[in-house]
Amino acid sequence: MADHPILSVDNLQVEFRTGREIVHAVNGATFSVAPRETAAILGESGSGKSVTAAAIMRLLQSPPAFVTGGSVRFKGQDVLSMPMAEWRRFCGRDIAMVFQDALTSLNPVFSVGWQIAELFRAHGVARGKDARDRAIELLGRVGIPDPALRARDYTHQFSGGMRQRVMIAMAIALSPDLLTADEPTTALDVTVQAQIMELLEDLRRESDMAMILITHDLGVVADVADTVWVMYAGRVVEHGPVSAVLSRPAHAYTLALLNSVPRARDKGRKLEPIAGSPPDLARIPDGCAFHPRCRFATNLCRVEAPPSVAIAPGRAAECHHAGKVFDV
Amino acid sequence: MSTAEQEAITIRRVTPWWRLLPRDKFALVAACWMVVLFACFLLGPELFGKAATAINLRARNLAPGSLENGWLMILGGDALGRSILARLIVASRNTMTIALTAVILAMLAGGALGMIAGYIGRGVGQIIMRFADVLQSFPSLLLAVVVLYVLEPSVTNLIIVLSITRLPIYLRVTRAEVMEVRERVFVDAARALGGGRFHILRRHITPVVAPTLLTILTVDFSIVMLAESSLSFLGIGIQPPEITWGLMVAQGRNYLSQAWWLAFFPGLAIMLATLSGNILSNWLRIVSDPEQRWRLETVGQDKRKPEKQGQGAGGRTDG
Repeated sequence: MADHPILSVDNLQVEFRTGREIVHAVNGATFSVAPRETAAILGESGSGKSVTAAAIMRLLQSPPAFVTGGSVRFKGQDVLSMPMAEWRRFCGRDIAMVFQDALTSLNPVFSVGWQIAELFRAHGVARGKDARDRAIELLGRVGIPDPALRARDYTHQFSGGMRQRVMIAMAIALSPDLLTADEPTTALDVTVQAQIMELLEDLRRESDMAMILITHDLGVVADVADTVWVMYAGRVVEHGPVSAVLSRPAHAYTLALLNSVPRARDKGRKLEPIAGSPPDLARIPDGCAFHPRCRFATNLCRVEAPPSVAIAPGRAAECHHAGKVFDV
Repeated sequence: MSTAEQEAITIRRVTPWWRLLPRDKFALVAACWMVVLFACFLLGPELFGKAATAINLRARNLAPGSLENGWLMILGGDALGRSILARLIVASRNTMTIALTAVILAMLAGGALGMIAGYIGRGVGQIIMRFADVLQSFPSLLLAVVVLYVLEPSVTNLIIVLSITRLPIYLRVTRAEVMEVRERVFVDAARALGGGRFHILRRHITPVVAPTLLTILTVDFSIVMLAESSLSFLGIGIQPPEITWGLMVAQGRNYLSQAWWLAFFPGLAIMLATLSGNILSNWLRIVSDPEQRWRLETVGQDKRKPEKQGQGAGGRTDG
């Protein structure tokens, strides 16, 4: 089972066509998620990680977004080519998503309990009082105190963290096999962030789900993920088991990312921000997209796109100088 | 978890709407007036049909305010000495049938087309919007004149013409709102959890758009009543002996300098019906909006809790 990924994304390409230019948001992202594992997609804002998630869920509005290449396979089925109606049957039951913006991802005009129950009704799983009871049970499961009472309340009567809990309750309602969490804690404050991550991790373990965790937070990745896929300018530039990648990166970008994070242990150490800014996705540099900001960059990096270099079983980096970075 | 506990404590139980209505005096009066109008609508022609057409030439243009010629003449008599009060009551049925049906039809058709234009394909949307442009660039009165001249000026035709001329407003507003709502995260969330197009339109977009449409509907109600009266004035609207408030205003216009009440009372009826409709729809909008409802629920509690913040000034003078 473990070698049969539940989701595999191969060379996915997404572009946004605006009036004047074409923005290449995802340029051949490749990754896979095994059943029951937590895969983190790590990257700065603008690295294409959220677009990748939206493309997998087929949530992109087209136009302006176009998937121009690659494939997504979920449970062995080609996601992108199946009719929308067929894909909708997977959504909710087999694959679900938690969104970044907990404050707006619930409908303001219905009570929270009604919204969760509606999910059961729409999927024909339960109706009437049964659906309501299940909704209340779910609210209790995601840690909402007094669920029977709170089910009658509306979105605006919940705090940000509570709303995210409700959203998570909806996402796991039909016990999907894969949960996509797109920066689930970005809109929340730090203490709540930890609670939500813990909740997600507990739920994942209890119900044998796999999880894609999209984040820019290295701490979160180190805490909960099994594997990590580092994205830069729409490509996965390095991947591997979390502990291995974070302790000894093989891509210059991963290394720079690690050095830019403050750590309590090295208090007083000067932070090393990554010079420059993420590339304009309408004008991605030739060669390695990271070369203008890379301290290892050579002429080769400016001209030729780096091949994928295998570092260890299940580990690879797209860097001309992977060996050199690995030995730093 | 302290915030969660606080939230749990401050939960208010939902007050049913019939308890909320008496707390808002304006809404209560408006609702009472609506009940009176509805009674006239149901029973008016049966009870006062005779009185409304009884000609009494001695009471021509009789001034209002006197009970000498019976209580039906309290609002005066028209140019043929017919009771204005009785005519108002009888006319309420035609007026409301035409105006209400026209605006409701316009709202349903415009809303449906707007949703299609805003949510489903771009190509279809473009066609629908150009159709709305054509309708809007055509003077609505001209359109009505042409159609009613060709067809017969019956109640049904009048309703159809009036609703077509009002349709573009609903269409445009719906489309604009749908395009805004469809971008909200909760719509994406619904799609990610397996909601189909129809489900999203029904459960996530319609409930957000509907209050706006209802508000326009009540404003439009008076516009349609007046449009109907100008058609009557041109002689292609409702034909006597059928009467509507608009027709009464139109007929009274000839006597404005000698007998103002001929046009004034039907005008007042139009105004009051519209006003109470507006107040009620406004109230209804707040009641149906979970984020606004507390405004009504706290009304009337100010006096009991004068120490409550933000309402201090009013409370203190009362206490």
